[in-house]
Amino acid sequence: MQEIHLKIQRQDGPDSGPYWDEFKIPYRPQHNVISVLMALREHPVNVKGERVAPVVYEVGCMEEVCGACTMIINGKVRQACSTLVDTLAQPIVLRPMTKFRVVRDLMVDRQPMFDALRKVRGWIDIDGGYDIHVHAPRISPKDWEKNYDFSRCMTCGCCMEVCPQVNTRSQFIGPAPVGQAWLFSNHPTGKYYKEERLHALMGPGGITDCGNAQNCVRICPKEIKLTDAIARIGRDATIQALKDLFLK
Amino acid sequence: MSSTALDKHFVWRKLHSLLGIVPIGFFLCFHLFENSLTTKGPEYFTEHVVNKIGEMPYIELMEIFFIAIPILFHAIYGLVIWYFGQSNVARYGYARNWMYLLQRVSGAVVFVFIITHVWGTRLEVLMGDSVTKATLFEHLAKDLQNPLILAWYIIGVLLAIVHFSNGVWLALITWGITIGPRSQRISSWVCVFIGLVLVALSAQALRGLLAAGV
Amino acid sequence: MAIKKPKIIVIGGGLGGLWATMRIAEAGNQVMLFSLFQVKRSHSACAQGGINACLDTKGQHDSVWQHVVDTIKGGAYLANQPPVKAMCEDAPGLIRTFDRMGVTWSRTPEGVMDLRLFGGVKNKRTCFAGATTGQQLLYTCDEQVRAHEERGLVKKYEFWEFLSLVKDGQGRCKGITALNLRTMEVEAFRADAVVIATGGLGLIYGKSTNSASCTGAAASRAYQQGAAFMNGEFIQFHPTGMPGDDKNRLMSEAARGEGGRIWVPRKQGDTSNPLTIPDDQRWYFLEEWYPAYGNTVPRDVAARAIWKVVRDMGMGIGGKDLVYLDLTHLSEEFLRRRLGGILEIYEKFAGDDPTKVPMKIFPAVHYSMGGIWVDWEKNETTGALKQPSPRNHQTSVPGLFSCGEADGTYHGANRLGANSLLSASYSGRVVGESVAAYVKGLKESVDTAPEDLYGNEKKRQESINKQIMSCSKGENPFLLHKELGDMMRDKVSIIRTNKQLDEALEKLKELKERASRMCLDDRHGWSNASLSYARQVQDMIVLGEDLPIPEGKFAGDPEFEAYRAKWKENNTKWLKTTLADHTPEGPKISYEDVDTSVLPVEEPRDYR
Repeated sequence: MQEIHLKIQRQDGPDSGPYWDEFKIPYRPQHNVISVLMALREHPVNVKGERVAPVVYEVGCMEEVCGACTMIINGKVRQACSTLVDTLAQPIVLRPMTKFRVVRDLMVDRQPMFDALRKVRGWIDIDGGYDIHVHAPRISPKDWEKNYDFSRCMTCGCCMEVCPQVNTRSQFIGPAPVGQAWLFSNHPTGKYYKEERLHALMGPGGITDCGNAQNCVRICPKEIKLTDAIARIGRDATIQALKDLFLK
Repeated sequence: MSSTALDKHFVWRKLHSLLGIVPIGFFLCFHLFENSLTTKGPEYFTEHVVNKIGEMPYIELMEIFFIAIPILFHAIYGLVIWYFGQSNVARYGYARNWMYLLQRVSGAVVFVFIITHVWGTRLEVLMGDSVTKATLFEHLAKDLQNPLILAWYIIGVLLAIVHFSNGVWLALITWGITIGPRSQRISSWVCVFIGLVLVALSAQALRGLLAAGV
Repeated sequence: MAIKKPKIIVIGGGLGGLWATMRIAEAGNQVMLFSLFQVKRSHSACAQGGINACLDTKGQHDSVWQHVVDTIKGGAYLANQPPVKAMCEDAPGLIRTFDRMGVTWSRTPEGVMDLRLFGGVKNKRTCFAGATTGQQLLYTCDEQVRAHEERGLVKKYEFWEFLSLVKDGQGRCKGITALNLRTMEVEAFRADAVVIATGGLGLIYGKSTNSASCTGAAASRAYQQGAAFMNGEFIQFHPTGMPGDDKNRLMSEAARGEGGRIWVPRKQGDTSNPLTIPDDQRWYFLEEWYPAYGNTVPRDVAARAIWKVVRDMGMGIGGKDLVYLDLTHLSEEFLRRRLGGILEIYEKFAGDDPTKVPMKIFPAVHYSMGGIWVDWEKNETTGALKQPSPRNHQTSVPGLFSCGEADGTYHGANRLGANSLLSASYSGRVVGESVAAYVKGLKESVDTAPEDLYGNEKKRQESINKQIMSCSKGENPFLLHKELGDMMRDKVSIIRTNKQLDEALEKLKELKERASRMCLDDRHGWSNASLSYARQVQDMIVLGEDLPIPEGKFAGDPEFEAYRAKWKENNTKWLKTTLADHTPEGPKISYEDVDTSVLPVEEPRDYR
């Protein structure tokens, strides 16, 4: 393999139409998709020999912990930095995620995911960022393991991309925020606001909008047990509904 | 998202899920069970099934409120749910993703099937000109001689069973009974078993009707 | 009369910036938080191993004092000691606060926080959350700031790039200009105080362990507008980097802390399968040279040792710039539990399973000990910091503050492992409190500042952008950056000679000139990443001039006996903080005495 052949779906802005651009760059071992895009921007010449604007993409840590460089690579959504070129069939087809508004080329606007974290009260309530001379209550190693699983969610959007229930017609908040809501309610003091989180997830776009296609758990790059959280929130919502019916 | 207790969206969704099991799912099981009694012959069936049920008090009200309205609601709201989803099996061909699509397709097909089925049986009896309770068995048996109708019945009933069995699997999750992947794997086998039992009952029913229709 | 509703700008949303935001908002102030991207994607997420705080829960009689001593000695006595003392003393309280915020600290069987061993220390003092501690701390602060956002105290400006300070006639910082990275429009913002928390500068070296955003451009912009830069020559080379094409990924120090051993084949140029090389044919040079600390010597010592073995002795694996970091003698179950996340990284990017095959590593640019110079106020009673004080973490530009890796306070010549998350969080907290104290003492609100201050600065920035955008022939910013990085890695590396440093300065002058003629392939006025990149490259080059300080004062270099003899002599000469003030011709270097009032400089730093 002497060359890397790239087919990239580009878009100049949120309101303009998508188009394809093709590139060929020299092969180098250990290339990943981000390093290919980096090499490309140094000499952004397409196969037609035209010098074009370098492809715009988001990049952060390049270690698959920040979630920035998520895109659709050969039909599958994943992080570009951890996708080694040697594992891909050519031409390598790059597209922006489809469940978010395209900003430009491969860059999309994932703000709705962050807004969702606000909706589900995605934090632990504390009095203030100062020492009160005690630790939080103890957490068993087993609970820790479950919580740690979810606290690694990097809001990359893979689960949103593959979820059939997340789309422009529906309001579904998506798997990641549900997982985060569960995480905070499973903390010994975070659970004080479990009811608020459940109520936030019992409205339109909430937990009942999950269709259990379970793609999220298959695609998550951190292998977070999203469907566990969804089912647990489902159970808690059922119980909460009964409480709301009979105790209020 | 509203934070008021028991948002109506939540209630509608839960109702949709609940109705699919009770009464619709229960009715489906009962219906397939009673129909499997066709193997005992037209006389037995007419006397012990058709007439017995017909003699039940408030049967019309029960049929309307426990069967017709729940099915109508479940079906129409189900179509609404389908509208808000966007299947992507072409790109992500996982088994569960196929089931997601199948649940929606089967629901829609079964809805149409139920309309034709009820038209061809219960409503024609109600209108009472060509078909009566006494001739219902015979009427159906005759219809099923037509290979197109037979195929339609096989598709309709099988998809109803798939829809129900998968629906049970889903309800076990959404109501919070099966949480982890292991329990969901076990429940999927249980649901396959339920489905197979229902298929067996349906096969019996068909056998009874086909045998009598000669 | 305190001013009403002070407005504060925090630039950078990593651990330092988020802590600052939190504390400023908690005091009831309005915070505008600027970041190049969603703050949750900041580089703090990359810190793997942990954060130091003396909790003394491992029966080792660890003490805060020992943490102070380790940090000061680890930094070759080149950090001012009162802030270091304050940081180590406040560390356990900071950890407890993190705990309450919900950080998923790894637990002992009885459900309390676990501790692990890290380089440069003898006691278990490092709190950790799996192998993604930085990510966990960052996310927790992100969540707290989100809560403040919900309360209306914080407004985020994500996908905005800080371009310059707005200063009034007295030289006070009164706001900033920033570039909207979507619309590419420049806007000026008023602020009563500004905090720069923009992290490190690894990208000046092209490839480093840093994220793509760690260009040092923001620090450079503040430096060019009058903020002094300190100790620029102290760049930490992480001993265990995985050399890569786009970056050098980090293999956490935790790998050594948990028992990883560094070795090379005794036979020079040996390329045979490492698993077939018998133990007596392996040279565990760190264990041999530093029997007391072995593989857990501090980073600079390990990096120099590896450099010596590979570059001076030519003993690298197969003659290349590589040595082995071996975990294969430890059980897979133990490794997966303790190091899961970092092993995954190696597997993912190098394709080998480190529980079965020794990893191949080489030192990589990792952290900048130096940074923007900031003030501090000593508490004469405790010998630590007076808190709160508006002086703490205020730069030489009044009203401009800095914290985190962007400032240069805590680590002297070398940072100990797991002290970076600590200094980022701690300094963020301190800066938040000092900003709150500072604005309380202000007599005049920024709202009264004349409009043309902002209009003029905005115009100046717009004209720079316009010049780059309208150029038709010139330098490619991406290639220029590459050239900068290659040169820096070559000339301003682990071992430096004055000759190399002079060459570097020469080259930087040339690059600076060429960078003024930058030209872009991207002509779009929307989301133009090239424009932002070009401006960053210009500012990286200027800041780059602060790094090769000739006559480099490597007082920390333990060059064995020769070094020991020269210890006292060196101290009188080089126990100083380097200060760089920007002039158009290049940095004006001066030196400032180091405050050594906590731990007298008596014992040389020695890990043998």
